[in-house]
Amino acid sequence: MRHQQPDKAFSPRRRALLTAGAATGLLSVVPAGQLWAKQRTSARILIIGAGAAGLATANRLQRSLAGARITLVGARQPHLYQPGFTLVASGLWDRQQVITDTRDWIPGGVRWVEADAVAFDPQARQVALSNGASEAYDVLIIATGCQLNYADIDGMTPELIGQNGIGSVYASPAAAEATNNQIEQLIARGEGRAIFTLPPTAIKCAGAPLKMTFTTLNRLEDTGRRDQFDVNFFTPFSQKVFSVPVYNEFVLNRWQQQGVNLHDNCTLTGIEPENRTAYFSRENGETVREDFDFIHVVPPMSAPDAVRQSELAWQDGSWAGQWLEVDQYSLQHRRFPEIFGIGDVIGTPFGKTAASVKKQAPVLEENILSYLAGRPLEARYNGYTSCPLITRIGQAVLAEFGYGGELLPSFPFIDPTEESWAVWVMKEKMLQPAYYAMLNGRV
Amino acid sequence: MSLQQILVVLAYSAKPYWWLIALAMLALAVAFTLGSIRRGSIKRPAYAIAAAAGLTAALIAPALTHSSLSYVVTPTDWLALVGIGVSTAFYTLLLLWPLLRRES
Ligand SMILES: Cc1cc2nc3c(=O)[nH]c(=O)nc-3n(C[C@H](O)[C@H](O)[C@H](O)COP(=O)(O)OP(=O)(O)OC[C@H]3O[C@@H](n4cnc5c(N)ncnc54)[C@H](O)[C@@H]3O)c2cc1C
Repeated sequence: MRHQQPDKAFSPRRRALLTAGAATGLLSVVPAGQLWAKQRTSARILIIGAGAAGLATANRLQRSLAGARITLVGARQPHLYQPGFTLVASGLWDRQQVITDTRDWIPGGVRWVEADAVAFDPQARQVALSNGASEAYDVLIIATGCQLNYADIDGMTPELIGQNGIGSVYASPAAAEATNNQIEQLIARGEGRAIFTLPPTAIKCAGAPLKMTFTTLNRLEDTGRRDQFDVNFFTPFSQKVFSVPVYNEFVLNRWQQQGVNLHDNCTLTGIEPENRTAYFSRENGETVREDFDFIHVVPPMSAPDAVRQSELAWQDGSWAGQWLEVDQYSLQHRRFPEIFGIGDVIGTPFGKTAASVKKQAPVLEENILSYLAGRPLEARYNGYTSCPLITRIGQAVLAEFGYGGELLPSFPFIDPTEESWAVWVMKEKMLQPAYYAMLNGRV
Repeated sequence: MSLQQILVVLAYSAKPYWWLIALAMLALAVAFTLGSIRRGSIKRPAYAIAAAAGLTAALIAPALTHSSLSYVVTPTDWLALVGIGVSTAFYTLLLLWPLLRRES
């Protein structure tokens, strides 16, 4: 693993302070988070993004470090439980159920700056903020999540969600609710053409577009007039809607049984809301026009502009200029050793779910403690990604996998490829408490 | 997931229902207080009522979770459903036990 040592540029005094208390030797044999004694440091730890990953990290570091000056940067006031958006958009939850106050999750002793990062200067170890101030750091943690690039689709803006048959579960709780309203309007018409889409980029919770298709199908079937609805799924990939083959096959087979028309190698490039028309580009450059009564738009995603336009983004490869460059195992930046990444923003083969954050947070914590203590970074993230793939309202498959598409089941009593009521109950009743325990750094 | 993590998640999951758990405990306390004058073995109907309560709980549990009994298919699903039924029956029996004893 490269770049695992703290920068030699620390002044000797600063180095001494940062590593003070870490030389007990105890830390090298016991996982840091489990120690009674906190590791002492005076490091300035700056966390950018006060979402799932930022809050989980702040809570963990606040508990495991003594003397650290931890600052959390993020302008968004409400905290959004995004895994609940699909339940809101399926008419099962009220949107208020997914909204809490960010302030309630910030541990005592952590300073919250209610502004966004606008530019990174890794040489000067400074981050410029939207309020005009700038923050210096010894350790920087990027946890800004995904940016939803609706504008990459001609004619599409988030404001259109909830009008002219346009839905999109991703944008916000209000958008999820508006998506449900559009689906209800389609159902009320008693007939129509529904289109579901996938973008050509990596996305957070890759199961969400599939879940929206499944729950809508379920609702259409419940009308008793399923044959009056023409349901279509457009994917930019060839015979692929999910990157893990076992789940991809399962979904494609099921959709075939359920009469979903799969259109592959098709990317949504434009939309004319008033005409209820969407445009898709095909592999050969041809553009096809598709009319709809309802369309579920999944926007292309990337790291937020402040990150992707900075030096911190991948410089080459398919993630160049799109996602944060980190080592996929240690979560340390590959060129700036004092910078780490966690959550949706990182450019790794898998890992854009809240469940991934749950596995990444202890790895990040342990590696930051090691970094501060001048020890090698030994904790490794295995790409764990999970989402309860809702296959109908009331049943789900607990998809759990890691790097290389390897299945990583958490419970010996749950088959990761079987539809189950118990998994549905987990999604509906237990995922949110588990998520909140994660925010508090308790799991 | 470790046992400790499962317990933490269960504790967080139970948070919205603490009042219900407290109410159930209170009902038990009241039943035991009211039944303290009675001694002897429990009357037969108590078993039937407990079994009926357990069965009802198991039958309506899927619907209470926006699901349906027909989606209970895997061994884990059945185990969970049986667990709900048995624990409801056991609680009901505990509740009725002091109240439905024969006068000694
Ligand atoms: C519809 C939907 C369904 C999902 N379903 C599931 C599921 O079933 N299971 C599951 O595990 N996961 C699911 N997820 C994914 C999960 O919600 C995310 O993976 C998780 O929230 C990632 O956490 P994060 O902190 O990286 O990003 P976020 O939680 O999005 O937080 C990022 C934070 O950074 C802030 N930010 C952005 N830019 C800046 C900036 N420049 N400066 C400062 N702050 C900034 C944002 O405002 C936000 O507060 C779902 C997501 C969606 C949208």
